[in-house]
Amino acid sequence: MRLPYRKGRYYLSGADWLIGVLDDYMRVSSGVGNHSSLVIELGGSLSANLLAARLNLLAQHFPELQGWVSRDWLNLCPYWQFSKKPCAFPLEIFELGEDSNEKELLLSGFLNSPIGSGKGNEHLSFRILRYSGRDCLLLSFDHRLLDARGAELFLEFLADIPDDEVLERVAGVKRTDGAELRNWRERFSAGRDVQRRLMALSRDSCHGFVAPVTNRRGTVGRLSYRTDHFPCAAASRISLTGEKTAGYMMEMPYLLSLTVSSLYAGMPDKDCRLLVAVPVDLRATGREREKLLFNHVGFLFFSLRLSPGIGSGEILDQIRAQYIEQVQMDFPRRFFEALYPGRIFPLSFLRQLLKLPVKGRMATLFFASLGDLSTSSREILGVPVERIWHLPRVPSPPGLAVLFNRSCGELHLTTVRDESIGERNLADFPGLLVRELEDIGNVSSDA
Amino acid sequence: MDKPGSNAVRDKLLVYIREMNDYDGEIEDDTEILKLGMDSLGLVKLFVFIEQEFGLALINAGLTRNELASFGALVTAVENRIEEAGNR
Repeated sequence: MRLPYRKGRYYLSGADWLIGVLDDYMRVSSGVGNHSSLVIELGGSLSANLLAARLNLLAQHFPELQGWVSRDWLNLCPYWQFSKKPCAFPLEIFELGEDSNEKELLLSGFLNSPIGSGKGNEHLSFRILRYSGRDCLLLSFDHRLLDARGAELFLEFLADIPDDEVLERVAGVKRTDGAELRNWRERFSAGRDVQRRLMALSRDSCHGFVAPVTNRRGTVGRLSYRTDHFPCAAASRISLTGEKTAGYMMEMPYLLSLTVSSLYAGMPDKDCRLLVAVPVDLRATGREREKLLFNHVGFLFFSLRLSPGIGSGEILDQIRAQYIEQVQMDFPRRFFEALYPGRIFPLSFLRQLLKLPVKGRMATLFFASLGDLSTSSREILGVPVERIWHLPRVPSPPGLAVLFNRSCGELHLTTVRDESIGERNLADFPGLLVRELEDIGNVSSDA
Repeated sequence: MDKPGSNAVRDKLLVYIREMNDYDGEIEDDTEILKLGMDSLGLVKLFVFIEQEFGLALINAGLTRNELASFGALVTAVENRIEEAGNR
């Protein structure tokens, strides 16, 4: 029997559906879905008129940016239904005063607010924060539409180029994708392997900073964030130290080991297991722009046994061993493939299943090390970019996320936590991590 | 383990890269490694393959960025390390 689906549609992958489940979970528990923001700090003033004009062009010629999930008539495969009557993207402008805290307060508010009204097909919003002649552009994006890399690549549509060149770039984006109703044997085999691994991870309880959420809606608290920036020279030293300590191409394991070590410093007498979920980008280099839309991620999972006296070197050894093992078995890609069959289930059903692994904790924390920006663009409509960092939301539990990214030679660290995690629970995290990175960044390269 | 012939390293890497990354473009000595259709973990997977295939400890071997700049540079780096391991 030929399973029905129509060509000319963008059928969502299993990874998209997982992100949809997280979004549904977060809406139910906190009232706000799964979105992140790119914070783009500029070296000058951005013209709101030019930005509005560019966004109108994109709204008219890139309707996929405004859409919703629909299903084929046999309800087998969800696909993205884009709007036939796109409207302007929300663009707000904020004039900030001299108070340096005002920006942080605003960003904290945006972190805890939905995109647009939260009910429509708004998946992108734009805000300009103006202060002292150096604007900050905030691009908030719904993860059902873009992942972190996709959002970075989106900035190339805001470059100082003619409209027809923008439309050429838009034309290069893949806007249809098949339903992938094939390779089922391989997918079920991947599913079996992934399930075995996840069940093994779930066997022992993991430490969690937030108790599993009850069925009561809106019980999860606000998120707060902290961001730290390490200048170019320090960022370079951190990278080199990571190479010497952990090996080439091991920056993620290195930064994760420092993060876990700093986190554990607040639990010195505890024997425990931390479970860390790490998203991994699966786009092939050179073809990223085709796959700008939707989610192209797999996951790595690290189960780390910590006991009093353990050093960051031993933590790194555990991470490296598990990293290499999972890379060897191509786990992130198998995880991606294994998710395809789950698309037939409604989000509300899968949301309940999220409470099963590790007794509803999902993980102890989410960690990401994005490396350098995906985009080569270093200006927004002619205004130079000084810094770009990510401000993600995180589901709770786990209620704690740590994200590293690099831009313009700097290294950025963003920590987001559920405010119900008291300061005492986290001790001096992330302050301890920041100080350690500063020490590494300050050491002479001759040392 | 037999010492690979002069083209063995090159041939094995070519086969691996084409199969793992579904890459059918030209691969010359000066082709940049990061333009071979790998995803973000691709280079790590390549290292793991090299370590297992040639019995090397590559990840901790102090590789430099120059040795990974191109396909040809990587082949030379692997051949050199095989020779060093054989001379110990």
